[in-house]
Amino acid sequence: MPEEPVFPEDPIQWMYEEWRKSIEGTPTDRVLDLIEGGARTAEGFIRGVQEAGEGLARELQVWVTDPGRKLEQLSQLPGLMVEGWGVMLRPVATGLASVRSLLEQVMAAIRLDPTLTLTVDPENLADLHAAASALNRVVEASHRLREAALGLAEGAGLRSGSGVEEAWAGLLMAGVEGPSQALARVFREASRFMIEVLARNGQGGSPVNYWPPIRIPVLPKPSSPLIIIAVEELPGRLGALEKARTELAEAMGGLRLALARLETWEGYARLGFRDGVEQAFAPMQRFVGPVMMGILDEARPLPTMAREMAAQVSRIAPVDVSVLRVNFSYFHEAEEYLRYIYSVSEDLAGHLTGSAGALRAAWAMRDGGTAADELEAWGRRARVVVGGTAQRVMPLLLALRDQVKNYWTQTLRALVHRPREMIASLRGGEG
Amino acid sequence: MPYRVNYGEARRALSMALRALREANERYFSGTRHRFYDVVGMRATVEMAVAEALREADRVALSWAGEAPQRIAAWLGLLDRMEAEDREAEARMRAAARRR
Repeated sequence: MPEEPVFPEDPIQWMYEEWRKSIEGTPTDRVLDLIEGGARTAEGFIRGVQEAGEGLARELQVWVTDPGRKLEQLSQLPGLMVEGWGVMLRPVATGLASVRSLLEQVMAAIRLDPTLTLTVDPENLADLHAAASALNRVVEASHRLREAALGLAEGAGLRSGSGVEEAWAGLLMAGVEGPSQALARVFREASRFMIEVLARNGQGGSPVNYWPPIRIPVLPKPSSPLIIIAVEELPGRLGALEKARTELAEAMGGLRLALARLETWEGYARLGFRDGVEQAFAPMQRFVGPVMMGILDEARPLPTMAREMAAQVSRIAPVDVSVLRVNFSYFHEAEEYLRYIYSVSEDLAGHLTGSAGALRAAWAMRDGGTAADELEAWGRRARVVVGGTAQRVMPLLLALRDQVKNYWTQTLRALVHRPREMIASLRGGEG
Repeated sequence: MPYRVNYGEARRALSMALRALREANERYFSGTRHRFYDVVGMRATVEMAVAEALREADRVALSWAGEAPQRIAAWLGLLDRMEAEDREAEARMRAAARRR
């Protein structure tokens, strides 16, 4: 029966003592004794290094500003009396951060030390399983969120060639999937540690491999910009996006609850898992909170805009506004065409008027007059009906073009640019 | 003296009108006409005034292609008959003058 493993009450102190044993008798050991006053505690070490550093700085300052001091007095400065002070000078200069770094390295060694164990209850491992399972649900929910976002983009006709997939994949990577991978690594490390401890205690523990499958989408090749405004479908697609966000938020709530149970394990905080979890959780919370809400705020006006645009289109031509297809290049061509048929109608009216005049001069009889009148009437009809229609349609067409551009810009902002802005924000926030 | 129709000029005027109509039709139907209808998916909803006007423009253009040439051809035929009648009348007048 293996001996009941006991984790030191203060692992940092334990680490420090072990380290001091390893350097016992060395110059560094002696200078540390001087610095910490022989206390041999981690706290004494940290405080002593700080004080020694400050004291040294004061001494040096006095020495530099007091020309009466002799050069040989320099050797009396405590840090410089002892061999190896140079090694310590850099950590003092960089302050407590370096000390912490050192402690963290030792802590990492503690985790791998087969002679050191924490008390582990199998229930802790079960809690870790539950937390990892909740993490998988978060990842799955994030994929549904992505699908909903792409559905909205597809309804708005932005799927092809507009970078929507890239933007959403990037946002989810930065907001959910990247942190999920970090969290999964934390879980895996915790799981491995727990299983080792349980094995040393003669207890069972199934190997756990928590590594949520993060699916990176294959991005399509860009194609020509075609807007397909599914006017009737857009509110539903937006609703699906909102629902998917709520679902992700709920999945994260479940993960938070699972993590709360895991906190009953004594090693959770001691071995730094809490920090790892919090660091991964923070960007995820920002993603489902302010980031997604910001995107939804911008996406919510899109169905209304699409309806307004459909109404505008219906003023120009009879359309089925439930699904409106608009290709940008058509606007330019349609505008050119309207100008063209206007000029054609004007030319024709001019020609027919000229022909009618010539006909009257050459054939000034009843039948000739009738023919000339009819030619002139055709010209008038060409001018009024064709040219006039072209003139009436033109401003509506231009208004529609502007509306489409506005819609396009707003939609792009909501579904492409906004996620990209948020990616930078999230990455900055992970710090 | 009775007014004489300038048949050549009348035919020329009608030919010019016919040519102008044909050219206008060709220009109207060629190239980009279908593109405007591609801007939106067209379905019949006749209550829309502008759309109705567009269709009317289409009908006018179609009439240029079909009705107008026939009308002009009829006028040209009428000119031919009138000219033949005129020539017959002139021939009769010349024969009467010779008998006198």
